[in-house]
Amino acid sequence: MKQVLIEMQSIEKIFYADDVETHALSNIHLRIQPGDYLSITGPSGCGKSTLLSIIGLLDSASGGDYSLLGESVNNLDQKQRTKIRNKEIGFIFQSFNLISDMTVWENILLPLSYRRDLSNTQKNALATQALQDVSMTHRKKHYPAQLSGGQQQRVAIARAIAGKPSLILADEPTGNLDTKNAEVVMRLLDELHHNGASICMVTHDPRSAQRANRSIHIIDGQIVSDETSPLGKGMGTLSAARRDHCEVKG
Amino acid sequence: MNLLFDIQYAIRNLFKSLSFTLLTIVVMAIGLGASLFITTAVKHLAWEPMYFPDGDRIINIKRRINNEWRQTLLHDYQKIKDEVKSIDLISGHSKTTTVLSDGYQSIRYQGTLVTGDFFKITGVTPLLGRVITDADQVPGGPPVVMLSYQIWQNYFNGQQDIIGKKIKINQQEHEVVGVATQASAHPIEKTFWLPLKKHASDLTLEKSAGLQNLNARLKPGFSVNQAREEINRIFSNSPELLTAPDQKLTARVFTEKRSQVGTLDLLYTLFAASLCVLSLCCINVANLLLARSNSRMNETAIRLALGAPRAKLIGQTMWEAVFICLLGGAFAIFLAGWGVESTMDYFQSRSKMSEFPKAMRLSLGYEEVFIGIAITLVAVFATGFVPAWRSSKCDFNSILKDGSKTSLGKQTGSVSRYLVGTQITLSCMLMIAAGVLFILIQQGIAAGYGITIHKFISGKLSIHHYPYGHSRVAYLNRVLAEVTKLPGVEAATLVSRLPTEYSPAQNLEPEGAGWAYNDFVRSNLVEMYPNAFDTLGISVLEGRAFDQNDNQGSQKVAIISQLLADKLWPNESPLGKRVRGYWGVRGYLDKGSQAQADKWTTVVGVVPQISHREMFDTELTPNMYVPYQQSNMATMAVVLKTHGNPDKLKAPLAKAVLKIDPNTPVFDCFSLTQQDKENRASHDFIKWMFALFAIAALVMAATGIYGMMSNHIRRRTQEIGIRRALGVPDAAIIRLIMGQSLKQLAIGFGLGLPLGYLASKIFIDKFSAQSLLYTIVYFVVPVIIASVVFLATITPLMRVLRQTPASALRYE
Ligand SMILES: Nc1ncnc2c1ncn2[C@@H]1O[C@H](COP(=O)(O)OP(=O)(O)O)[C@@H](O)[C@H]1O
Ligand SMILES: [Mg+2]
Repeated sequence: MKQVLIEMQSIEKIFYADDVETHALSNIHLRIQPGDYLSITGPSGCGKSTLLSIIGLLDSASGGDYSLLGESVNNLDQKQRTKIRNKEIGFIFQSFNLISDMTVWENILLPLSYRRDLSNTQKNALATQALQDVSMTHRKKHYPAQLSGGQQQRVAIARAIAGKPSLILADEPTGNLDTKNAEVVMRLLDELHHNGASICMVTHDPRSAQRANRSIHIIDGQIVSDETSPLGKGMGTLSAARRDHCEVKG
Repeated sequence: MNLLFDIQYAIRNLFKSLSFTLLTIVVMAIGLGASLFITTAVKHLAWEPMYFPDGDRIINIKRRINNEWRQTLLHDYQKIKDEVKSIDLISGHSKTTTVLSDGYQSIRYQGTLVTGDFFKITGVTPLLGRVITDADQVPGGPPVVMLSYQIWQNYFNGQQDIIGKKIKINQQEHEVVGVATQASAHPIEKTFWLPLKKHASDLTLEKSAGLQNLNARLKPGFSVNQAREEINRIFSNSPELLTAPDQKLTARVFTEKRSQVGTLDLLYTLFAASLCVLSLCCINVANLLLARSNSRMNETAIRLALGAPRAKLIGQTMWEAVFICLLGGAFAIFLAGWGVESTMDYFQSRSKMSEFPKAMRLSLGYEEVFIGIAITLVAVFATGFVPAWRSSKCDFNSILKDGSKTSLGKQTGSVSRYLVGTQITLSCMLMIAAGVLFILIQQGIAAGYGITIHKFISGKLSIHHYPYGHSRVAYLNRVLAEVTKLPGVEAATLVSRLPTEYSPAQNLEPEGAGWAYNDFVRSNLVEMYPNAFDTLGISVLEGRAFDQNDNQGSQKVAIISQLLADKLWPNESPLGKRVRGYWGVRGYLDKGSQAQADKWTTVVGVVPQISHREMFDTELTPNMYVPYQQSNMATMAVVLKTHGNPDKLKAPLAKAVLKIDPNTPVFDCFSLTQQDKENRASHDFIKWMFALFAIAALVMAATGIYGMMSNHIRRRTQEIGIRRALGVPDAAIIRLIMGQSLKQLAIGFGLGLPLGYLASKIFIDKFSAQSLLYTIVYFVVPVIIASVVFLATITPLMRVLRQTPASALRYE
């Protein structure tokens, strides 16, 4: 059996703001295997982004245990978390989040530039490859403001995948795009999955969710359903969709 | 209607962020208050004519020989009075010691000897009786005196029938002919006016009287320059006014301003520094307003889209500036008023004088308030202009279109960067100049007098009424014997001038040097009892000290300071060499010492150079000491070296002296520490003002940089979040943001360091006071500013870095 990618036990997240406690997540149990294509759905404000942030080490849980690649991350310090984000995780955001005063090329190179384990030639090769994967090579020297939304998101995907992370996290990647561009982005994700990437995607759109081979639904910070859909339109191989049982708690 | 709405809107905005508003008002009040305060001081002391009637037409004339200042003479007065056409009134006056006695007590006052149109020029008018007239100036005529209001009130209890009464001044009966009104008194409030009773026509130039002040009034339509030219022309054609051949006689003619003090340059620098602080403060407020108008830019864009005219939007920012500055200005006027009051208290408390000369008194009047308002209006413009101009330039369309603040942030960010660059430049320059001046003044003060002063107290004795010769010596011997016996006294001595006092200088001619007037070395002349060096702790470097055998009958001897030895006989031992004083024209010295001008004096000893209140003079005047037995000056200081607190001996000293002779009171009795304090009061004051301004500049720059950086970082919060999400280490982010501050620093230092260096160089050269400490200032100031910039950057940045990357990403 392959190493478990993500293992979450009783994860809680409470936000304290202005004396108000928001229970954004409670009692989350989640296990993700390498090669999974997981979609997370739920009404606005239910805690999807929060869950993704915790998975991606952008935030830490208020309680519970979380292991990434078989190692507990509960007690990691900021520096170690940063390192893991840099190497193992690729982020794709709804609002693209490219850095506006950097060119496409510089944006893609940014996370790579902090990798100690790669030589400069390797970094350049990885960035070039990523640009090719999203078919944006011709826009290498452009600034984000000179690109359309769809193009920007493709660059963001290239940035996320350039370092060959173990896990790609996408928070409503098509939320700001028209259907045509959304389709392009979804296809890209499908392709990534097909090539073996593990993906966690938050989405509003039921059709997008269907492309994943596993779908969890969150309401009020709790996972209310977890469905494996071997018929998901995802182009990933179904054999890779073999996964362990996932608990669903009410 | 529109206007009213604008104002309401501005007020509402100000109230919405009350703490911001208050902070800005405080900043404004400090900046405006400081400038108004210094403006008041400079205006009163440097620009304003004396409080005389027609004050702006009154000029002061001084004699100069070969471009060196000399005592003005009665003969100069006469010449100018007779021949100069550009003036219509002329007067001379000098200070004189007067002891008022009534058989029970003797009190010493500063009297004023007057001649000419003194009362017309100074506006001293009689309340009772009359002023002193030409008829009173007849030599040998009946002695008359006019009293100031203060003396009349304090000493004579305001007796209405005082006119015609005889009072005893300096042991001579004087008839009181008048009492001045309370408002008119010059040069000080507690004084007597006595006729000089001397005329140039009766005297040879050699015996001419000295006039400490020679004033004249310009005829209407004549300028100071015209008068100066005319007087110089007449002087150059008057060989009879020369005290030696080959002299070049000129006059220094200037309008009579309140302050002719040497600290004027420093005062101007202080003025420049206060304007610097004001600019820093305006930049701060402008920057804050800029940030505010930015944060409202989206709203503004929507209003524009809805059809609001551009001018109106500019108006709003302007109105906010108006309110902040006006409120700040109002506080500033109070602040400056308080500052002026406390400054006066400070000087009064450090002063030996029981009253403060009118000319030095400061107050905040209507005019200063108007100046304050004017400065405030300038500040309104300075603070409101940039934000208003910025919003007028802004491309509102693009803001509406992409709805993001980034493009706008970029535009205004650069303006705010320029402002902050300017702030660093200004504060760097100001802090360097202030730091160097602080050290320079401190060094001047610390250089001290050459003796340790804290154990001494001194009081003056005026013994004009003792005949020259043995009776003066006998009297002083008795005094010395009595005060030495006082409990708490370790030793006592008598000297004519203490190091804490100015000493008049004499011309010295070394034997064999010939009679070339121009080459004379000037030296202080101090008379002393034999034990004076020992008591004051001055060691004899070469030769011997005075002893009892140096008396009237023996060879005339002198001890000179090392500096004088070096000047007169470089590379030679001065012992056994002879000098004589050449007075040029008498007037400084007592009648008793006239005979000395041509007697040779033998040098028997050398002591270190002691300065006579010359803390800030670039060139020290050397000293010559002579035994009292051989000279007999009429005013001597009795000096006590005490075991404990010298102030405790003030009363016993006065009592002991009065017991010996009730007609000879001790006066000007102060510890040397107190005298020293007074000597450096104005320099201490200026020193601390510079320190204050340097700190104010630093605070202003710090808040300005902090404001800019926290704005900048707020704008980039999301970007920082993205970078962190992508795994960019915090250290790299800190470097990135620091780079931004470093650019400001580089610009600020690039301009500020050379400017500060040049500004401080002027003073270093002026006082020719090279010191390693200044170099330290050039290093320390940038380090301080850099640390402040670092803190101002790291503090808001750490606030972002302490958040989780997730919340930075959510930041809007
Ligand atoms: N930093 C935060 N501080 C306070 N409350 C937060 C914070 N982040 C998220 N929340 C709250 O947590 C809940 C879940 O938010 P989120 O995960 O963003 O929902 P969504 O499912 O729409 O992505 C919401 O109620 C939100 O208001
Ligand atoms: Mg969300």
